[in-house]
Amino acid sequence: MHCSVSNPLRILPPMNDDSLTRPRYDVIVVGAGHAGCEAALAAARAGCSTLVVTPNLDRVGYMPCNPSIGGPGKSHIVAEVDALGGEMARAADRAALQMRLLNTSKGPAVQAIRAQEDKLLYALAMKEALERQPGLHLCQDEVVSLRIETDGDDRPRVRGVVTRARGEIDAEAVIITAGTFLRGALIAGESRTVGARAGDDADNELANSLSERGFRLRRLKTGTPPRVDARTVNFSACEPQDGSDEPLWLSRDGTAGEIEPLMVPPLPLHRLSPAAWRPQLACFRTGTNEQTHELIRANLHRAPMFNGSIQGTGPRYCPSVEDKVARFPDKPTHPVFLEPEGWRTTELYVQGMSTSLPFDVQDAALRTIPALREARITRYGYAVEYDAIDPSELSPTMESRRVRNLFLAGQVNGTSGYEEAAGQGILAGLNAANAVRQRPLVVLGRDQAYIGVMADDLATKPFDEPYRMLTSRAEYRLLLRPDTADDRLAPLAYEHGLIDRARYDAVTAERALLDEAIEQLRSLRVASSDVERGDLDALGIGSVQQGVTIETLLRRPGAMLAALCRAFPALQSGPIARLSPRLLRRLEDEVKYGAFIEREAREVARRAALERRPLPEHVNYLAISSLRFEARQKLAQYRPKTFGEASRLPGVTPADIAVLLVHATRLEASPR
Amino acid sequence: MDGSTIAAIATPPGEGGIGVVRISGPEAPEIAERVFRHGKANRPPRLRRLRSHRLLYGRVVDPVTEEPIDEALLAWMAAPNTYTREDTVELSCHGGPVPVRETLRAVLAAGARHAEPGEFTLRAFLNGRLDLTQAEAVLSVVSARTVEGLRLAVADLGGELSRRIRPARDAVLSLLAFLDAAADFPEDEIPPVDIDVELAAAEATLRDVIAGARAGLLFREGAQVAIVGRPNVGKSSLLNALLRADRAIVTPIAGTTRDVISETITLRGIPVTLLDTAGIAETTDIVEQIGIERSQRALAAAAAAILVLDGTVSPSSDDLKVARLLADRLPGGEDAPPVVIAINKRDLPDRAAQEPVLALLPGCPVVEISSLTGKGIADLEAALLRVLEGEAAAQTRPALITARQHAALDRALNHLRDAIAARAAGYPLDLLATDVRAAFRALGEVTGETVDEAVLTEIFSRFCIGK
Repeated sequence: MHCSVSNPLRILPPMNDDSLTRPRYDVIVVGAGHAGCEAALAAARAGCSTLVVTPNLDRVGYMPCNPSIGGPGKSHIVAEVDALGGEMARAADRAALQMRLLNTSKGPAVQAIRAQEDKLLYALAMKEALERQPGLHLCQDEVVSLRIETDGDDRPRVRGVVTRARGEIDAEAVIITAGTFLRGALIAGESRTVGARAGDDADNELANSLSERGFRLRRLKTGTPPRVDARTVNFSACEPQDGSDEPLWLSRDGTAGEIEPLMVPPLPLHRLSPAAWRPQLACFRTGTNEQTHELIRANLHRAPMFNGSIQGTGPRYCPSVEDKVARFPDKPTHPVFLEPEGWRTTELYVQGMSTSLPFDVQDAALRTIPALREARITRYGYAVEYDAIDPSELSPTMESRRVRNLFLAGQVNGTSGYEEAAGQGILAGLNAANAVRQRPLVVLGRDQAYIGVMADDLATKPFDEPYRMLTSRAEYRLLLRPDTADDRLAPLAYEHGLIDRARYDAVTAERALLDEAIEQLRSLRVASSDVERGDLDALGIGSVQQGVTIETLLRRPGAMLAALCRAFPALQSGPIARLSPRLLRRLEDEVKYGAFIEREAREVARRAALERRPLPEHVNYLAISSLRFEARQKLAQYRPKTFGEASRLPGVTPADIAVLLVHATRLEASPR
Repeated sequence: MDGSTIAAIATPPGEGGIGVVRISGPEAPEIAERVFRHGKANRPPRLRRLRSHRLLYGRVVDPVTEEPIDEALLAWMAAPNTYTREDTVELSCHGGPVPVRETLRAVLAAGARHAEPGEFTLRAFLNGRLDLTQAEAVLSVVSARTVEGLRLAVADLGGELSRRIRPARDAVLSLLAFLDAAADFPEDEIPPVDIDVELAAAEATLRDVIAGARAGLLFREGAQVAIVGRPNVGKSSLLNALLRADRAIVTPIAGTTRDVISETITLRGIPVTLLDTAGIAETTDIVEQIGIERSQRALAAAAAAILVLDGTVSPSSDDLKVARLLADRLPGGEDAPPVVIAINKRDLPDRAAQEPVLALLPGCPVVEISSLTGKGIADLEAALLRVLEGEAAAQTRPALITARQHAALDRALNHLRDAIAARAAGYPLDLLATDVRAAFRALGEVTGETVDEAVLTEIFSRFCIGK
């Protein structure tokens, strides 16, 4: 199947058909947010002619909420997007105004980078990447409906879109990344306006077109805090938080020194961090107090979340400040962070104060905080209610179960976060290309990528609240460390054309070098006579028995590879000596973690046989009276394919799984 | 469900005054009518015309020859208000193996299929009458066969085990919620937790639950008691006296018992398996040597031991050797089985002092017996019961668990111990969390909880998350 733009050899349709003159693409992406950008880039890089349709070309890769990328779980996804040839990590590295490493002492599996971004530069970097991509077109227009063909096929198939300005456009596959635009409504205090976010209109026609097709929609809620003018903030009443002293990069290119940061001279009122490796701005920390809480409590009846005017489900991990005050009345203070939205803007994002309280309450609440006593709000906080497509409509390939070649990615699937959107986008783009080429669609395993965990969670678990990635959602957390993302995903990325040969070769060469280095650690037997007594204590490894391998020594908790390399001359040559500091750290993690990863793998393997065991296809779950009622309903609704999927459904307990096992075994023994 | 009607003897074999044959399935009443005669006219009852849950007096007959088998009570219980939720008939006849077995034979001849072990409970479970843990508790009664086991199983049907596990489950969950929150929400204020204290507390709680559960196992699975002593002191004849049946080969030649012979008796609700061991002595006989090794293994597995001495002669070096073997194990604490000393052959006039042996095993109860006349056997049983119950009594209120539950709890405990070791070795939080999560998952196999759901709910209810 060809994937080039407007192939002249295409079979001509009958003359009276206007499809002759209709524009035609392999893949159309609806939306240009974080999911849409990655989806479009992946589809185009996989060789498909791709069109991005967005109502506002000034909002490509836009950050309507927090001007930051990363954090636990999220930076893990970003590393995978990068390994799959995606753009988010590179754009974030280019446009960052601050980098920090979180969870420094909690172990490499949960360590995470958080990047503060200049939000305009980030959008610029992303749009630039899209514009530079061959085979990718951008257009400003609005998709009002999907063209879906139903004849001659048991499952309808998408054929293109209808836009407001351009009319019908043909496509082999369509990816919807509509974010919060479906029937969006903005709410603050007593005011309620139609819109997807401040300044952008909602899209009701597309939502209607989807619900007419039978897609189940869910009403969700999210929110954003106010922004304040930095010139009105008393920074001396805050604690500054500087950027990292050590170089930190989200992308492989950044680590390799191949990223040129996008920079503009900062406004003089911003505080520059002292680190020399790149210019960074400080953020500031302050907090709410009893006065703030009293004021909010006194106005709770005016809060849409509490007086019933918001019905959508909001995420528990991103509560509004009124929520926090109401649910944790004993906490004397909640942290508030002030984060610059860019090098050359005075606007600060007030992290921790997400709210939909009336504007006068927002003003008054901020003024109870000493640092914000004089603060002038530039944009008020508000809540957004929107329709999301129930993720049970999804298959783990990101294709909709209902309509063939129709893919869904990002917040429209009920997730939250730019990173979660990007992860879905790249998988949807890759699989849309596979669908166009009639190749098998890719499913990422739960042991392969956080993106796989997310896709599986979305497709197979009931949906209770907007989905955010957490490292604790991954059973194979030790394995899915960000620094192993290339190892895990480069072969797949290369096979599908998402990364080039040079990059794939570099990843493979690194892996080979690491394997050689591990072999060196394994084969090198040492004795205490090889090292001075004083050095031994400094190594923190206690005694060295005759003939112990370096690998064994390194697995002792106090041992550090760098110190061992200094102590044992034999490590100063061979593969280990050729490792960069980054690879040396990776080697250390791999060796130190080896035993635990094996333990984790054993624990998972214990359940793996059951995990993959298929469930009988035509079971009437509602009739299995020995299942608890809730389990019967969930199973009937989600119809899991394997016992593994079934076991992850909330409301399905291990005891229910045992019941299913008994039934399945009996069914298999006496098929009827 | 294959739709057949099944039948089996529903009471433990060989005990009790009444034996019950249970018939369950769509044809239960019709089958019962073929083997039951009732009233003055000695006619089959017409059960489906009768109200459910009625008791009829009559007799069981052979369905072909009409020959009477036994007097019996028939209980008719229509679906769904029965144990299996199927039509059920129970025939209660006189106890004793013969009438009960004959009644079952008649029922099978009348068209029922012999039930597989546990099949009534399986049907109850498949028909939604019991949930899995209840079914397991019931199955454990079926195999326990004792009144005490039944009492515990009934407690378990009420969720006793879940209640007992709760503190351990809560401790592990709270720790896991902290570890996950700390990893996933580093910029939120998570109140610090003393991980070492929490881990130790969770481990201790779980250890208690398992210890209590082991005591429950004593009632369900019973205890093994090893009968030990040098060759030819009368171990096998003591076993026979306890069984009142000839099982072991008793000869006057030392070393006849070359294998371990086991028999089960019931001591006040505890099924006690007696292990007759080969005499422990230095020997060159290879076959006997194998027997002795088996004896030592049997001793290692036993919950208690009876040391048999020959009361007619002074202790020999072999006697002292056996006593020392037991004494060595005693101060070892946990694994050492308690010992009851039985001085045998007290029916004979020759009486030799046994003090050298008794001095090696101070504090152990001593009973004078005669395997031949049965003198002192009741005292021996009482002493044995005291040491066994002493074990169990140390644990208050045992919970009854199945092997599956026991294995899951053991796994949870091992994961917690791994976590404690990882913590002591200074490993970071992400590794620790792996072990604690595995522990919770193992507990979930007993409590029926899945890990993600529980932990997230715990995190969001305990910590104020969200900047």
